[in-house]
Amino acid sequence: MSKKTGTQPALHKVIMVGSGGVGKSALTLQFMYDEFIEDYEPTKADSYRKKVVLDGEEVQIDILDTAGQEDYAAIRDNYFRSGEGFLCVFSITEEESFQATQEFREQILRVKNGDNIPFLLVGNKGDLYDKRKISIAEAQARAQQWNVHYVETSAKTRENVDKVFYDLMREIRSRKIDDTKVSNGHGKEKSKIKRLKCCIL
Amino acid sequence: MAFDFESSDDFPGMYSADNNKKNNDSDFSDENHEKISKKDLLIGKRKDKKDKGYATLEGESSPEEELETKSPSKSRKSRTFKFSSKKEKREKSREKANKDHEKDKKKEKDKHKYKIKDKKKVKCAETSIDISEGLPIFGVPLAAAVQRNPCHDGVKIPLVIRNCIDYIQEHGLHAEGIYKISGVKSRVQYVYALYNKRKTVYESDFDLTIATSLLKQFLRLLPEPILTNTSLNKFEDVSLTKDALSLKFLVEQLPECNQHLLKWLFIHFKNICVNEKYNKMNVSLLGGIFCPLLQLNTRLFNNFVAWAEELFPQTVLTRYIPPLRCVSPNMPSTFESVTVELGKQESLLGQIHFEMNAGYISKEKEDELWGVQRNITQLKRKLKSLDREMQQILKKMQESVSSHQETDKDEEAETVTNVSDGSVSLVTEKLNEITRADTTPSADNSFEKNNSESSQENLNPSISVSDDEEKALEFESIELLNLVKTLQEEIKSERLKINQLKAELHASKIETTVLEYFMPVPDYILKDESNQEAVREYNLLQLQKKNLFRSIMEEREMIIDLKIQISMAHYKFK
Repeated sequence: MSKKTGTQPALHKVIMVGSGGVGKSALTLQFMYDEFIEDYEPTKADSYRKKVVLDGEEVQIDILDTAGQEDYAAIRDNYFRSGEGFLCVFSITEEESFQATQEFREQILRVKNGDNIPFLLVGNKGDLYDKRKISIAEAQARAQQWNVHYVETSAKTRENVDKVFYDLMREIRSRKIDDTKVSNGHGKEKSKIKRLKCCIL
Repeated sequence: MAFDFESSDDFPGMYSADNNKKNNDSDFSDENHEKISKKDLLIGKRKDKKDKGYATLEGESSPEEELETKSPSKSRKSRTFKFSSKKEKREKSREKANKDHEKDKKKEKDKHKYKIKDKKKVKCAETSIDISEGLPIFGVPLAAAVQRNPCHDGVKIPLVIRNCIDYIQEHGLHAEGIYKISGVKSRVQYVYALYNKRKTVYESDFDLTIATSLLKQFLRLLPEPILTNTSLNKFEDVSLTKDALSLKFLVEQLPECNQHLLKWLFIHFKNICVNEKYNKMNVSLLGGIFCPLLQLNTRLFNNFVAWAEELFPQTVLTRYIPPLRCVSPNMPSTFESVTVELGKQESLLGQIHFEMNAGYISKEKEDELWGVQRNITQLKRKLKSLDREMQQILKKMQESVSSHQETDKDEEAETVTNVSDGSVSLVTEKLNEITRADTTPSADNSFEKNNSESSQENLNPSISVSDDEEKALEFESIELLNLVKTLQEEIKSERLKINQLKAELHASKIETTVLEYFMPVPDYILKDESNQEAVREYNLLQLQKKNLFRSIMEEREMIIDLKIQISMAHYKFK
């Protein structure tokens, strides 16, 4: 058992949020399995784990794909609470989905208690540019207001799919490092104690 | 290792989660909320220890003493000692210490908790709030206990009871004086606490006396009689008459979980009584123990045991197989097993949400939530891929059927209708139904058709064989062609019906794929726990259907044989 201690890679927990039908599952499946399925089938909740190499370091990513529909709001908090980073997805072809991001953002901040949470605003369905309803400027303005980054993706063409996940993981990682620094004295002490314990083991 | 309550797969997992945390600490990549939860954890730990003291105190002292005073068998006490000395000396000394300082119970309990913790190396108190205080399993109404400690396979009795009965059924039916001997108090209490805390309980935590004591303790702590306050009188009235049917009727009026518990208990008791020559327990001895616990009168108890099979027909006490834990390599691979496992995982997920919504949130629980969710996702993907495979098989079959029809067309141009068109048409749908249960009947189907083909081929070279045989083959081919014709006509009419229904669906704007109707069990049904019974029944019916298809096929062959014989007889007569 003690063998595992050294080899266990860091785990980053990512949650997909956004209205129904904006392509959260499509993005996730494209990232996980390189597949794109045209049929729409509402998600209740799905979870995936994948080993990836992030800047030369092997890490694990847990992705939780949540329901866009309001029906599952009751269990949503349980998921949001355990997430470390969020991809807030809307469809650039649908005005309402963009408006809904505001609500999701607020919910996340409420559950996570704080505004410095690894978070990316994602405009999906970039391949359908001829049906665009949300301009890049509009989306970027909102991202700026939230102090987050905005990325446009296409789950269909795989454009920027890896980017959003990797960018978010980087944010989560640096956030974790920051947290340790903030509580630095304690953190170091604790880690020393833990190390000592490990030696005994 | 024949009996692990929560598949031991998660044992290393549990530790690896801890290790992970340690690792994070040492890698100074700890996250803020983890820090907080760590702090909570420490507080929780402190609180927990205290709570445990109280919890065990209230749980243990009263009922155990009650039993001691109630129990008519005086040999019990000495037996306990004999047993413990046999078992474990350390346990014994602890037991002794407990008895010596009965006044200082609270302190003592704390102490022995520490000891047990040391001994078992169980990482306790992960939760920031003690779930055993807020949502205990023992001493609450049965329905609550079932909700809090469910079996995830649709049997509506608390897991703790299921585990006890499973264990006794497996190890104790031949044990002499089963249920008469009590388990070592501290060890019973330890397992009791594990259940209340929703910790993993391993087979090694159990022995026969612990299982029986725990079961008795659970029943004793139930706030309401198992026959419910409202119906108890009716039951007693009925017990005066020797009427199994009205008893059965009354049982059916009870809440579902009461029915389930009654069913499991009395089938189990019956099994014990059947083995009387080994275990020396008969109905009256068992009744002596359980009548006060279940708040039944002796006559009712005897009736329940005597009529157990009539009251609860077709009940099999199936051993509980818990849902797979995270990262299990043995994912099921058949349609049925995936479906069953998916049901369990969904139930487990519901349970986790229930606990989290009640405020019992811990890192461990969150990890479990993601893990179970992951299992569900994987199982669903598996189902989908199985579906795709099935589709492909069907397509192939459709092709073979349609190609066969082409050959038919050459011979009997007017009777053959062009059945196949590119889409998953009615042939597949019809075959789908067949293959869903099993591929063999439909294989038979095409096999039969191939038969007809081959028999036609045989017509030409059969000149050399005798006249009789030639005639027989001719009749056979006629019969087979007739069969093909009727089948095709059936297919045609079915297809018309399907088109009609599709049009109706379209008109009422219900978007659906054809496949949905032939899926073994749609998701939304599986998700509903109340449908578990129906799901099982469905699976049974599927099996029956499979068998029916087989027999239909066989019958058809027989009919053809007979028809050939009749024709032959006619021919000869002429």
